[in-house]
Amino acid sequence: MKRICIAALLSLIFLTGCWDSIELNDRAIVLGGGMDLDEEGQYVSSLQIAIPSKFGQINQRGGEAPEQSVLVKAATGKTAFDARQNIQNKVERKIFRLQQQSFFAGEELAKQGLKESIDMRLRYNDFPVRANYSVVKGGRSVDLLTNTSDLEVATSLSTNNIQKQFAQGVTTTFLDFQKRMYGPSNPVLTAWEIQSSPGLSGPEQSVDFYGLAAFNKELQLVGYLNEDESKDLLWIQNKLEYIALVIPYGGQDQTAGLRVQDLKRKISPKVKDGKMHLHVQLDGKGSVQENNTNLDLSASKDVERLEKEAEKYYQKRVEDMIDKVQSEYQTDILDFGLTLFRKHPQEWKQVKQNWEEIFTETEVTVDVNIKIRDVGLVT
Amino acid sequence: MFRFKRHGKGKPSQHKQLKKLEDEHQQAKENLSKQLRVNEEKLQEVFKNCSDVVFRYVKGQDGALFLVVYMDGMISSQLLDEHILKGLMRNPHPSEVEDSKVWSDQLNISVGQSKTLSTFEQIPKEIVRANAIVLTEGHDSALALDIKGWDKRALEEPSGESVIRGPREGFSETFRVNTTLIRRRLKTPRLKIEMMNLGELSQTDIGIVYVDGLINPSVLTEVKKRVERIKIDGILESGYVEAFIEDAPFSPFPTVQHTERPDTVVSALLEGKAAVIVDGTPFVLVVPFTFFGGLQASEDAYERFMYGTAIRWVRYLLFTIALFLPSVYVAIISYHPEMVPFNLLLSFAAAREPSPFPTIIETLMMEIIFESLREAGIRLPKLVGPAVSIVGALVLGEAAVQAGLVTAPVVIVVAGTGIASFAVPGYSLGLAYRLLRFPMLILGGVFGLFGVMVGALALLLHLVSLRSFGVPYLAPMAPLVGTGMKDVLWRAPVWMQRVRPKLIVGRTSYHMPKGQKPGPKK
Repeated sequence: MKRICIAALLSLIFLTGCWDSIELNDRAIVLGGGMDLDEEGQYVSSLQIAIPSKFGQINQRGGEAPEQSVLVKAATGKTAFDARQNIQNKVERKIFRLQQQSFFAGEELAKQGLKESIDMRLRYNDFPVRANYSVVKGGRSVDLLTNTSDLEVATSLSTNNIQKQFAQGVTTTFLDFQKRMYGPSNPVLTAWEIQSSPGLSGPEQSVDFYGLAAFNKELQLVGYLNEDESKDLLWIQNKLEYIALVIPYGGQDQTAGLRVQDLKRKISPKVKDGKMHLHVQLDGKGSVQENNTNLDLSASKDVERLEKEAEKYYQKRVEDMIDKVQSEYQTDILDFGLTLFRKHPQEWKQVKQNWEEIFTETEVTVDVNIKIRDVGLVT
Repeated sequence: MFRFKRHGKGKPSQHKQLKKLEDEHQQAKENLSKQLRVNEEKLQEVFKNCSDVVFRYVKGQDGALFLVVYMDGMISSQLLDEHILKGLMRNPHPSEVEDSKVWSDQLNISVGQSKTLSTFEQIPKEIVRANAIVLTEGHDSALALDIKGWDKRALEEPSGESVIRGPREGFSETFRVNTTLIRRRLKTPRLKIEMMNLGELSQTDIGIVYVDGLINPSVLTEVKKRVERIKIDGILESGYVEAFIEDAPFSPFPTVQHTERPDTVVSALLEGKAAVIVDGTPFVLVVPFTFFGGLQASEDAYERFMYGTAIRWVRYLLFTIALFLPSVYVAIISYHPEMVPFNLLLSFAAAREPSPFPTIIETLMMEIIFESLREAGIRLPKLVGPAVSIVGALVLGEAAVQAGLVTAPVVIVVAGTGIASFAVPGYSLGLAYRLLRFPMLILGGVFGLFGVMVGALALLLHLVSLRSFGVPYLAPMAPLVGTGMKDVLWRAPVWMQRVRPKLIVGRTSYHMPKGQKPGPKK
């Protein structure tokens, strides 16, 4: 009896076979993908697929122009899901999405709202949740994907690397987007722009980092923040490692360059006379990297002057940014709701329903405290 | 063809042959006669057609006549000529005495070991043991003189267990040489060597060695019981004995250790284990045997503990690789490519482009070729060896990859696995890994990582349930014995390893007193 059982179990190996086994050279490895909306309101799904033979070490030859190592396919459909299914018909191998590094949404689609395209991804597990999620400013993701990049082999990889340089490791993955989407505050995504510049043989196109894209509760794109504003936002969100400031001092084109590190932020919400007040405290330690002013930085009085000037300058900058977000974009991407939720959960419960309006009415005060720690090797 | 098991003791025809031999010997069990001629004729009959048995008449003084019977080749001619023959030539005829056992006192023979034989059946037994028999007229007992002197191999370093630091003496094929090597290292009367003969025709000397007072009495009785009940016509190697006494014949893991090194045996004896020496082979068995014992080499104990610990960790890593690398590789590439960092994945994908076979078939092919190479390499004549290994490396490695038959990552995986399987010091344990990686490979290739996990779990369950002479196979890790852990995960310095393995010895006992840590006295 025991032998019969063992024999039966062993034959399972041959009877069931390996139904799930797909050989690596039967898979189409997707590096980047995108979703757009075209003029008729149809969804366009695009994929940037790696051509493996061009990636192997044996095939690389120095000195020659890099051949096309990725290929882009696109397909349309009535919904996001439909478009996604249709694209498999255009690709010779079984699409393997789980190694995807970045995902783009076209501007038109982002303006209309990302809700529809996200639903499918939340339900079904064949989606790379750690892929970087970005918006293409003023363009379509198909155009971004067909762009060739110089250093890396594919745009989906190069955008990730550029982003790493900018924000020192801050990533906006789909997972982050999802988390913030359900939370009290609203999500942001990185925004990329396709720029034309004159090149050796006609106009060349390159993909540039623009900044961040702000979304409201309905997941509609409401506005962009440029590089400076993005950095301010990241400081407030406590995700920034350092920031380089160019501080104008007095008139006559005098500037000083300051690198501020050890950034801290503290958001204190208060309710006064039925109105919400928020105080943002930003702290940092600076080191002077460039001095084009007439200040003598060996004297501590002059250093204090520079500190105050830096604080003044930066405070205005942050206040402008918060103003813009509050009045123009009217979306809470500054983590204010999140802080209120964490610190005063009872009060958050009361204001939860009308948070969007209350956010625009909130009085925000900013206080910046920069302490200059060292002035470099020379004065 | 398949052979169905008979419920009985072996095939009937073999049984009858053995019985016949036994009967013949029974008949010869008569007493010796006082007449020399009669004895000589009986002996000639027993040794009919044995051309290497020599019957030598020696004339002594005053008309005495002695018959010396010995086995040529097994005895030392020098001892025979100078001591026995010379001595007998000067001997007068031994007179009649009451007690027949005492006539040997009257012989002028200066040979160390001698015994008197009173029955006929003992004589052939002693002759085949390289003893010379002296018979004379008028006495019905014989004298057996031990003059062993056959050609032996000189003591060499054991080829399978060489070390950088440590003694380079290995056991030899002669029983007495082996017992001497052990006795020299444990100069105490508490070292006991119990002898017995196994094998009807081979009459092989088997010795059970242990240290009285250290060994667990239940282990000792079990070992003796199992060895004594072996009935077979010939024992050629300790492997035969091992097959009869082991706990789990159907497990790929050995429950009996074998070694060629005396220092390994001695350190095992000091831990309360028993050794079985088999004449005719340099491989000595040591029981009981645990899994972690197979991962230790004697060198670990001689070098300093930091080095020993680091090497031990490398060994653990390597044996994991030896067992799991091919199956995990196949499982990940075929079923879970999302687990691989994408740069690496693209390299793999690029390598796989030209290959026609699925990964599992490729890996199986290469593994089988590797095993064939290994097997062929054992029997290669030394002159051809290097040439064939070049062919193997170049042809199989380079050309197959270039032709697109196999992929480069698979060659790397198979080579890495092969090298890793040599890292296991106990050869028989290494064999277990070599064997087991094939089922693991198939499981991984058919069921993915789930299959690998199931295989690993099945293996673990099997190991945990295995016992060697009553000692759990995974001791001291399972069941956990705290004091024993000093030699498992890391190798504690010698002065820290005080306690003997509890599960083997059966009680708490110590190698050394406390306070041995080196350093200035406080």
